[in-house]
Amino acid sequence: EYTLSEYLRMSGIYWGLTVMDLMGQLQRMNQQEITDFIKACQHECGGISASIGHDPHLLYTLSAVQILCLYDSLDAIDVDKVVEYVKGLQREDGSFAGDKWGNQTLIYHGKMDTINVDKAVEFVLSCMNFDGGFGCRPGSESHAGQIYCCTGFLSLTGQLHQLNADLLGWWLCERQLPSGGLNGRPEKSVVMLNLNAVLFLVCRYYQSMFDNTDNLNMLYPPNLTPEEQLNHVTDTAKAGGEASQTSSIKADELMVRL
Amino acid sequence: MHGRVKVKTTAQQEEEKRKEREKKLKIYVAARDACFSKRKDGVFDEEALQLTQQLLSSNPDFATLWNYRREILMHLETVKDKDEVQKIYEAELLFLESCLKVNPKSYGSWHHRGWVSARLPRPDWARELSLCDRCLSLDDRNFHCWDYRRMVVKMSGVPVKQELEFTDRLIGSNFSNYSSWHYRSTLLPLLHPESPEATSQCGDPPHSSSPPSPQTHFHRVCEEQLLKEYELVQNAFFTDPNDQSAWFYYRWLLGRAEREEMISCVYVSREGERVAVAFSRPVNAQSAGLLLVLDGQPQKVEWQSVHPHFKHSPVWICDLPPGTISDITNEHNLTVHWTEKHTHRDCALYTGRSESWCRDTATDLELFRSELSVEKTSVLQSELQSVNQLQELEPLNKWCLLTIILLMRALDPLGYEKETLAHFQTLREVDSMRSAYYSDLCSKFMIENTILKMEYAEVRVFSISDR
Repeated sequence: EYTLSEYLRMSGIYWGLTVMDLMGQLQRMNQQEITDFIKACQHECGGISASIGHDPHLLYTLSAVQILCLYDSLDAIDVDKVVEYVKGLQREDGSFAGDKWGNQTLIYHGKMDTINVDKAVEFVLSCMNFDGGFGCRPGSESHAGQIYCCTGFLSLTGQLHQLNADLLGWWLCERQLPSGGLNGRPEKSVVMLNLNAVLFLVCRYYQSMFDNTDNLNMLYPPNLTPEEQLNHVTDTAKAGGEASQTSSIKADELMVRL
Repeated sequence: MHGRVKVKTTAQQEEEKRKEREKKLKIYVAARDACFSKRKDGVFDEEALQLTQQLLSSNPDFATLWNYRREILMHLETVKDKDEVQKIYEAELLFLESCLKVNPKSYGSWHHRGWVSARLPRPDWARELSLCDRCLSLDDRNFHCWDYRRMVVKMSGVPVKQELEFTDRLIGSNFSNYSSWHYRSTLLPLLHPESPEATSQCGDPPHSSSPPSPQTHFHRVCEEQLLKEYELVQNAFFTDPNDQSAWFYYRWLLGRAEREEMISCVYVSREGERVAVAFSRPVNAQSAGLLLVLDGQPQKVEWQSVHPHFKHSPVWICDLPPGTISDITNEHNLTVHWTEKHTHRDCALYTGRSESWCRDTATDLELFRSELSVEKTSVLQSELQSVNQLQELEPLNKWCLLTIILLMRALDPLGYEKETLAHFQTLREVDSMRSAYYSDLCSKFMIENTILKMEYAEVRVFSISDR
């Protein structure tokens, strides 16, 4: 199974490391080995592959960048080349070949201005559906994973006002099943609990930010870089329901602890 | 001893399994390494096709191998004639079918199929559509298949009406049909756009070139078709009041209102010698074409956003040239033009006044108008009646309760306040998992009501504690 899943190794490493980090156990992993692995996966074009010998892909480029951010060692790779790679993947309609994850990668580098943001926003908005959610492409059904991506992008580009917060918030609330877990879309079973807990909180976070930022004291401090802003969100998700100010974010404690 | 069946112990069985797995792994790894090395050497031969086929059959998510396979196929295109290429790609489609049978949710397989279909010298779109039919009959929530179907429909020009009928069939026969309702929401505006000339022109072919997004732009549907849709969706939730898909769709049907875009407020200050402009939604001053006219004279000003980072802001401020409005004995008339939207707002700064606020009341603006207000009152009332009927039969159905609340907001926020509060209370009890959402929404509505009451009473101070 390990061999068969080689095609997503980079993401697998990221998921594993995030969990270790959340539990305060990141130091038990071999940082040097992982960094060397990532270096070996960066191709000439700047993109990064899931594993050695595999083709570069936006998704795994993002995972690699995320891993290096965890270790605060982005300089281990050629960052400019990564930016060039991502920029090169933007299509005329604003989308990115290989997913919308491109925007997140660029945000980590604080280099959003290298792409055509307006076109990207236009594309993301064209993926908005009747239920307020987002699918992978225009016309695709809403899916929580996609919503996470799109909402994040709209937030970072100052376009949250384009969302229908009440509607989308409702759709997202309805992802919670009696078991406490969250599904990715209507009438489906529970998906990865930890991922979706972050997802849910992030999305409710965005809704709250949209509704009443002052009450929740959720505005970004003005001097955060985009990279820090993204981490800021993660911290909030980690804190989960403990901060008393965030009373309108009410995730099941059980979910949050996972 | 002869004739006795040899019974293996558990340990032996485990060992055999382990050896078996190891053997499989060895073969897999050898094949993978062979592929990588061939590709590195730029080899695009028959063996490469076989090796990748072998690996992809058991692991269709191995994206790099699909990439290699496409390189091989593209190479073959250059050395074979059209008929041979047709055969090769048809074989490819067969191979893909077998992959999809094993794993109908592999991104790799679907993507590759789309790539092949687009490159076939003589594509058979009817066959592709029928593949989608079959796949969806097994799992009508497979979004890979739905996305592929949308591509096939687009490439082969399947009429929207036909696809609409397809959703009719699926919705009629299946419960888990969120995907079908979703598809319907994208088809309707294409088939029956509300034309600006008249509402009676249903059935006219749409003439817009770009597909309207159901949520953001031009998602009008003509009245006749809309009423049919209400009937359809009511049938669904009356038959099964817990069919959530129908309720989500119903909310969309009822509420595709576009808020009027306008300058909501202009504020002028003599002391600060500045003008602040608030908009109904965040705008970009540069692209919005903001123009300030003072006493008939256009002013050259620099608009500043109140938002530190973003280009879009709901409030913009500019400074007036010093001395222009500082004399309190002078009256001034300002107009701010939002040229992009062909709208403006006037603001008079009277003698003796140091500042001026110019805006409509919340009531005039219908600021808190529910999104479900695109319909005529008569339609909303009729819908409310129907849903109330259902509520009598199913008093604890949360979908019903929430829909009633939204309809009441659209019809008469203050008049229905008592009922709204009662329904929210019931909602919190029957659907406690989402009680925070309901409380949040209720609070928002009550604050809106407070503001509306204040305006009716013409008072300036109000309390929103405990709302």
